[in-house]
Amino acid sequence: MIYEGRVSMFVMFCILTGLYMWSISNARRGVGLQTRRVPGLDALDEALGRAAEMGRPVHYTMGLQAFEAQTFASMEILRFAATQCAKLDVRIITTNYHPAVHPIIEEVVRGAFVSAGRPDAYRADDVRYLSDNQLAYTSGVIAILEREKCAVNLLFGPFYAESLIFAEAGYNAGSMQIAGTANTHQLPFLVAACDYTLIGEEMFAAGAYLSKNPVLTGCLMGQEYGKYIAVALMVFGAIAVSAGNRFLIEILSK
Amino acid sequence: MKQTGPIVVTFIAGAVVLIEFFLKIDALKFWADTFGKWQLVFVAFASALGAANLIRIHANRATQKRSDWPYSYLLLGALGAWTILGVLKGPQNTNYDFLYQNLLQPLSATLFSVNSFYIASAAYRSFRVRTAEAAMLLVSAVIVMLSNVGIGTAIWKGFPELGGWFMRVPNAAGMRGIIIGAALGAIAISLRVILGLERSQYGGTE
Repeated sequence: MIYEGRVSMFVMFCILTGLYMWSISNARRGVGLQTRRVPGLDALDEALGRAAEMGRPVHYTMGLQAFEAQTFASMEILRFAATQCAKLDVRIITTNYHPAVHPIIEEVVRGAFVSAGRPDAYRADDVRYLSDNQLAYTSGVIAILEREKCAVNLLFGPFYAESLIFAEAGYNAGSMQIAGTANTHQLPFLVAACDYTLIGEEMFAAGAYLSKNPVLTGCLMGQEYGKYIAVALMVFGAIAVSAGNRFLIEILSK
Repeated sequence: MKQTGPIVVTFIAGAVVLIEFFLKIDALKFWADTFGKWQLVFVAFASALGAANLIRIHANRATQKRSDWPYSYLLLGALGAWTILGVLKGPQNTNYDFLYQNLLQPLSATLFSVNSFYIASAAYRSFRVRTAEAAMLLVSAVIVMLSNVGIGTAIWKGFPELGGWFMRVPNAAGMRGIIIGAALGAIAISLRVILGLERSQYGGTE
């Protein structure tokens, strides 16, 4: 019934799903979760305030790929940033790589302006589809950062070779830069070039952190329990393998 | 109400593809494959939306003579020429291929090569020793760099081994920790999307 080699994955998935659901119901009942400070997310308000003071726009882009987990996490941050921009009367220019995501981004930004009570301030021309060619998209972003002299450059999503080019273009344009990605091979570039970087899971926690929504906060709690299981398996597995016992490896490869 | 339709469609498509990944059921496999094909059709339609957005923005800019308007004419001209050539002659056409090989490829390669200069400038900024962490970063980066170039071995034969240890042990340990955390986050967000608990992508007001 279950595909060979996916049994342990299926069991782990069921356990994690159960933990997430339990954590969400706990969060809905008001069982609180203390979240640690995330400097990159705390800096968002400061960055957007800076853009308002300078009277210059904010640039937001969510990298390559269409519908993947990082894109959805990025949309939570985009919604927050766009809402704040609407409240502060700051332009937010959103650039986009994938045509399938474009209408969704338009809807997120428009919804954020409506939520903030500023539907009149929404500018359709500031949500821009550039190209689904990686380097054409990259050159489009560089041009916008340079010409518009963006005060803030927000990079959240799945980035590849273009990450460092974006970050350096933002630096040259004098932008304050906050980035986040779960693509480990691009993280060193963003850490080196940006003012703040959300590393891996921090980006997935951003929605809960910014919105304080109980569902998202509950999921965060579930992620923590998942990490405990992963750490326990690693420690137990390391001890077992060191002692010459391959039982755990055999179980997990089923 | 506006969100109900997309939530139901997302739940059905997501649940079918997810369950099919684990369970060997022929009917589910058929529908998972079908949803995969439908996705291609949707993306093709979305490409038209993307092109429409490009044309609207640049046509407005060109006709209203806003800043840098000549570039908008250039973009619209290139978009039109490539589209006409591609539709009429097909992507295998010699002229289409000539444009691709001699215009797009060199431009892309040029832009990509800029990365090497950006790596140097970003490294210079982050390696300036201001804190203990920056000093550690500098020392480890210098060792790894020297382990990868011939001059490193000429200075000291142990550099390749030491650089390899940095990559195999502290670097791999850190990266795996990040990957595990990110994977758990990705599972959580995917579940929220499938179950309709994550709604930021549907837009609208909160």
